[in-house]
Amino acid sequence: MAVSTIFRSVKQAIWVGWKVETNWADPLVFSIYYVIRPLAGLLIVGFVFIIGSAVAGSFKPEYFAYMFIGNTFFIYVLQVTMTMSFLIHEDRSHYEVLKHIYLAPGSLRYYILGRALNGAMNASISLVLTIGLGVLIFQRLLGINIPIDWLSVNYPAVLLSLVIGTLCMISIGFVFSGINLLTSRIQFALPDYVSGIFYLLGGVVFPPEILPSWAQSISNALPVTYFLRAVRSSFLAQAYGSFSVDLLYLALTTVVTAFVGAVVFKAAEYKARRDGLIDRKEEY
Amino acid sequence: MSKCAVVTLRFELQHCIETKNLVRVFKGPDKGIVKALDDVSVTIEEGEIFGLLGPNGAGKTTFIKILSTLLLPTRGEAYVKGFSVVKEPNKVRKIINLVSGGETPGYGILTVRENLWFFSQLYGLPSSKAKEKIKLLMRELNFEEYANARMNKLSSGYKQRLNLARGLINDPDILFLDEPTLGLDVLTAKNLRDYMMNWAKQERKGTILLTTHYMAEADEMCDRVAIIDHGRILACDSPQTLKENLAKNPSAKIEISSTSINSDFLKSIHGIIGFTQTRNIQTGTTTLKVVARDESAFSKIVSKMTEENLKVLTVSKTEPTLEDVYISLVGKGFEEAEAADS
Amino acid sequence: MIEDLVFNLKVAYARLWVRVKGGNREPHWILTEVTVPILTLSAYVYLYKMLNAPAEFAGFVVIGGTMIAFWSNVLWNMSAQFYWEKETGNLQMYLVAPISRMAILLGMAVGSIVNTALRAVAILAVGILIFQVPIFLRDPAVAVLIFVLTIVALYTLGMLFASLFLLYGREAWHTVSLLQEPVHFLSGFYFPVRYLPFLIQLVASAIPITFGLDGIRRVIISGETAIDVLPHVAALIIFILILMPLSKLALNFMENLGKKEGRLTLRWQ
Repeated sequence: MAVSTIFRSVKQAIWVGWKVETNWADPLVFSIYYVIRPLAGLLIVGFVFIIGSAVAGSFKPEYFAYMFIGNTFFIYVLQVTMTMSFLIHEDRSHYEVLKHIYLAPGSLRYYILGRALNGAMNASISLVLTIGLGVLIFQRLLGINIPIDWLSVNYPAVLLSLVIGTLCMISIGFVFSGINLLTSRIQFALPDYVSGIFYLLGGVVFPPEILPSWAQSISNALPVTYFLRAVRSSFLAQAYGSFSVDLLYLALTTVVTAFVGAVVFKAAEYKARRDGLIDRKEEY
Repeated sequence: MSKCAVVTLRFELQHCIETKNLVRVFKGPDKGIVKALDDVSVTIEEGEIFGLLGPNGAGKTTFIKILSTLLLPTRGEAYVKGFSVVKEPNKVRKIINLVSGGETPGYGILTVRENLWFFSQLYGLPSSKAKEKIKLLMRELNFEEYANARMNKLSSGYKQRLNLARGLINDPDILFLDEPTLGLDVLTAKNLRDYMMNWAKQERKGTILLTTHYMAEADEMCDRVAIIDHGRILACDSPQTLKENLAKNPSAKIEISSTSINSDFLKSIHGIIGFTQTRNIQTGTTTLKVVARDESAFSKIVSKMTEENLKVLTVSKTEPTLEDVYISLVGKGFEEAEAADS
Repeated sequence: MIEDLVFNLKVAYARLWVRVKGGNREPHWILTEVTVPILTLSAYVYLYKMLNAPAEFAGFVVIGGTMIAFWSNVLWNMSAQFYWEKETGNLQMYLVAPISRMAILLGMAVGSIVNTALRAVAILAVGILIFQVPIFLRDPAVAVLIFVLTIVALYTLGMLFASLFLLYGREAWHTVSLLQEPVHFLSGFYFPVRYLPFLIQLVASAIPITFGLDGIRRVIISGETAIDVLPHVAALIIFILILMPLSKLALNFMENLGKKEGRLTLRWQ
């Protein structure tokens, strides 16, 4: 397929995602999904931390920063995987456009890629706003010390981690899209399970070292663990590992998930076409 | 006159359905005003199958929604068996039901039988009676083998049978059918029409108000038809009488071997009341259906075609149809009317 | 009048039956609705463990995580329900039938409670077993009382939302989304609300589940008695007394407004 066709598919998909999901036309709706809800999530974890520390009589700012970075960057995991899980059912049964996208010259997978990239873009906007408001509320209003020197952050490293991490989430998302091509019955459950497991075992709000050993083994196999460690290393003076090692592990797990995502999606696409599922409406 | 006599007189004069100067206005998408119903006064008698025929956007569904208590009129009155749809909606609801084409209310995750049982409970049927009724309806509508199938697995034809069964579950006195055969294949539509006619005329002797934009459906089913356009009733009588009244205005079908003719010239030919055209890409022809004041108009059309070097394939006089009635009243066919409004 | 009441109770039962049947037809839903909340609450339990917080905080999280099942149910299966019914073409079927709309809402509410209670018990049991949550329950009757009052208040609130959202399409969806995480925070689903700043506590006290959650925790985890939670009981009763008639008023108002504006059966708005 010509590069121009691929580029056009991806570009159009980003545009559609922007129009349909980002709700720029309605600032209130935009703020609900990309500011208020993520911020509320951060406040919940933040207050759990503050209250837990207060009753225990010991507050460790470095752990607060650990939680702060983990929780805010986890939004990429949520946004990308949920977008890719829901879009198949929405476009097929709700908007009834999937079959037309499938029949158009650009391939369906590039359309899905474009929608996933739009998800990542939305996550980036949400991230910046949540971090800004989070610092305002915790540091300025509540006087909590968040030991991040924003001027010393290694932003190129953050960006590199984000790019590879996003590719990894997109790969996982292709597994979801593939499964949802065959059935929409678990479109909500899939991302819920995966994000739930990642949240618990991926070192999002606490170091995985406090988990039982069997859980730590699982944590060490999850790409999100290395994604967040790489990001944290870029932000925090206190290293939680070696940035280059974490990035390497992230890249390796991304390669594996990309392979799995590609295989699953290709098989699902073939089966969906064979069984007449591309344009089948489901009521879920 | 004694009070008894007055009451008796009122009872005898009561129609099954009656509207008086019914008006319904909506705010349009660009903040303009849309008059969906404009001074509609209609009476429907018990046991009648009454059709409301018009193009999309004529006001048919609005009319049915008001009578079925889903919508309030802006002005005017409407009564179902003497009960005001505005002031006594609950009394109306006990004796009616509504079946809308193109919609399949129900819960996809439940089976056909379970859905019908649920609907029966909305009308207070005892469970045992409901079970019998459900079995009977499924048998009569020929979908008994799907009784235990989940609704979301049914094809649209069977979903519409389920929809009709739901509409009959409470044995209504009046059944509102809003484009009931919309989107159905020819055979399924015919079977449903036959069933509804049998229900009204033989079995239940109920009253049906049917809205449709299929001329043949109105012609086949209805005792009387009201033709509606832009919210106004243009004519109301039996299909036979409407066509007979038009007999004095001849109609003809003219087939031309081209799909690119501009039929606007017909407006300038004296004696033409209205026309509609249909292009057939496969055969490369255009069919003009023309209603005129006298037959000389047809020869003028043929002459014009010849001048334009267009080949006239056939000219045939046709028996008036309801479409011709519509054309004579509005000046154009349904498709042209809908296209003009869009 | 008695006849009408009996008829509408039967209607409520029918709607309840649909909800219970439909809600449990796919076994994997039950698994998901139990497993996913356990994953989330586990994260908070481990966070408290890392911070060396007292063991009772694990109990607070488990109870909060259990009650989230009810809150989510009120939001998605009650508040947005008429929106879903409109989208699927069921709403007009209800509106044309000679039934009380409140009967439909009642059936939905009780059916939802049945479905959610099954899941909530599972979450609670698993949470208590895995994390060895210390239970100090001195007065089970009070615990049951507060739980029942909380559920009634919550679902009455759900009925009010369902009425308000009768006309609104995507706005209903967005408003319901807005009420998820912010209420999880304000009502203290994962921490006792008394630790929040006073102003936030004041705002939180406008939400019935704040009182219910705090009351249940005090009775089950902290071993408090009826006297200690009397303010919670009183607050919940007041909520019920206000919300119940309000939901009926709202339903009548919104239905009439919808019939005037012609929006009751308008889809995709």
